[in-house]
Amino acid sequence: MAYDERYSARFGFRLTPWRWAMLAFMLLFLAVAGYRFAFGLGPTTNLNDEWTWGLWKYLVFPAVALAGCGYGTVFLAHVLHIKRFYPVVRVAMVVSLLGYSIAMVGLLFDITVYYNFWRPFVYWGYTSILFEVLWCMTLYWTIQILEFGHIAFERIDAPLIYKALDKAMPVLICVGIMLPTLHQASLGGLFIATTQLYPAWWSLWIPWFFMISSLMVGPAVVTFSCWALCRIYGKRFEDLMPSLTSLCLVGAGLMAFYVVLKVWDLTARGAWGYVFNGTLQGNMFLLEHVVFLLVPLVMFLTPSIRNSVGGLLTASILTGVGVILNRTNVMFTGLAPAYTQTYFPTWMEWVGFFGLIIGALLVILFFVENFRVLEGVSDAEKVEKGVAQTPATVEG
Amino acid sequence: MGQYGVLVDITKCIGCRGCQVACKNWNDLPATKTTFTASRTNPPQMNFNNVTLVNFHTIEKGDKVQWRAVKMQCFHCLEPICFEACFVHAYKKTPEGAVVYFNPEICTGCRYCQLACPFLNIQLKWDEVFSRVRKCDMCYDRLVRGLKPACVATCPTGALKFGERDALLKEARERIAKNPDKYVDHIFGEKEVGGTSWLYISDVPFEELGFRTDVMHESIPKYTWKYISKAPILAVGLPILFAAFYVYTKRRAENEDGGH
Repeated sequence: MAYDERYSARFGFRLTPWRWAMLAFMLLFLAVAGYRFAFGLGPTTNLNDEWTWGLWKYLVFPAVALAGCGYGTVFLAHVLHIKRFYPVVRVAMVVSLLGYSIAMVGLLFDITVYYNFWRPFVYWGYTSILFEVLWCMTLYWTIQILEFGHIAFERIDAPLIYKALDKAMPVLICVGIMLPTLHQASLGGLFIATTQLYPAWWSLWIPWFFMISSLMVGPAVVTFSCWALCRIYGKRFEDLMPSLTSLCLVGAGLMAFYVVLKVWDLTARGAWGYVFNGTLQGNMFLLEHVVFLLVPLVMFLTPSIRNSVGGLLTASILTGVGVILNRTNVMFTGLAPAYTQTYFPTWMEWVGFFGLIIGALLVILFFVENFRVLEGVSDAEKVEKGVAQTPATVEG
Repeated sequence: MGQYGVLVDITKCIGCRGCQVACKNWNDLPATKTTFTASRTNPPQMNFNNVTLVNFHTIEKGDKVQWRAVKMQCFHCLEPICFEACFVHAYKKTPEGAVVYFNPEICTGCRYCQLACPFLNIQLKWDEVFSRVRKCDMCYDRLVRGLKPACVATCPTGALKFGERDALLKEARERIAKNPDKYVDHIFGEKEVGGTSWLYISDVPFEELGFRTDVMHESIPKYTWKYISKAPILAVGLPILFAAFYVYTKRRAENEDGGH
């Protein structure tokens, strides 16, 4: 069955051996979840009073950072109305929605008194940066679900709901971009309080580093997601290249800005010594910023690399790994010198970690197969055979 | 009334651990299994049932090796980051100076307080399903009844002295001034993270005794507040800005469509 015909068929989810394996893993994940909620974090995890934020809390940071692909792309496509980005904006929105879903479910896993999850909304701890993070993330998650509803109700026959969502979209979009702008910064702001963080990363500007890095990684995430989806569904990735190269140029601009800001920050604080002192922390800082920031930046800025599928994809993967590495460094590498105890996650923590990611991947696949997400791309096979075809298009 | 505090004179401590026991007695904390390690510190780490702990350090003074015992517990910052970091207001900075985890009912167990504490002095009950934290509360229930904290009341050598923080600070300066050869010219807690209610003086540099001397001398909440107080302006300003962009560029996009 051709991919585009799926929209007119019934809702469905074809089960390949890989998908069976992923579903089987989800069963294990559910068992671990049951154990965690019944017996608490002590028996489930290897956390201790020093390493109190472990693998599950960590997952929130890269997941939300990579989910930054949503608000940046939506800003370009739906606020600035740049038509060039219309073909990829829906992929960006769905990936972003699932990134936030990982974070929200992951947080519920991680807080020990989980039945109190609603308390911060009522007890108004406005002095805490975490308070702002939680409010913004919850509201934005809700908005993203509504925005996805706008896509879902194109297919589900409920004209009243669709019309209401359609009317609300401009408001949802404008408010929906403010919220992640604030909390991406605030997620970094959380680490203003952790003054024991290694000085190469600890900075009063860390909120802005988190925000800019979430924006600059967006184009890379969109590129990789589009490429992976095109591979899975036999679509022609080249059709999306004009959108993606422009998007990645925007990303490269932000990366350059990030580099300038980072140099300025290290100079102003006199922290260069912490970079070149040969410690694990210094070397990880260099790895993060040279191999996974400067190299992809140069790759994006070189037209011949940027315009080739392999080059664009490689640079995107490097950028993505770089931002993941940054969050890992801030949460683990950079805090390690302050602690005397050690921490390595238990197998149950790993199952929870990968279970959340695999669950999100399955939902993304279901969404892409059943709703108009991957649009405006022709079938790879048909193009190779020379069959004339007009690709389906997305309305703004 | 000024804020209360405790002055710890490390030179007077004989390491009897009476304070550890007194803390358990008053707060009704169960005994924990002790373990044999290279140090005399026991239990080896602070934990939920041992919120105060006497840490033993071997110090080389000239050609002699000596023991120093350092009582550790929450330092009760003047501007506590745990209070600022809590997003449900489970903490309270009392007028008496004690920082108290006074409302465990509403705690979500996010553990941001533990992460943020610059001295790692907040402990979680890991073996419980709905685990919450505990920290030294300077025996707040004793303070309000006019009693000294249990550890101070039990200290046999006067290494711990309870009183108003300002008076203690003055006394600490006097002790150092009287014996400049003995003491290191540093009152730990005078300036660290904007000042703490617990003050320490010592004859050995503090970094050799497991103190984090590299902490900033301003209060951390000052920085977090500087950031968080900008949020409301952005929360209102950004959507208005985006809406303006939206309307302007949409009109332009529609004009382009109509043009051809």
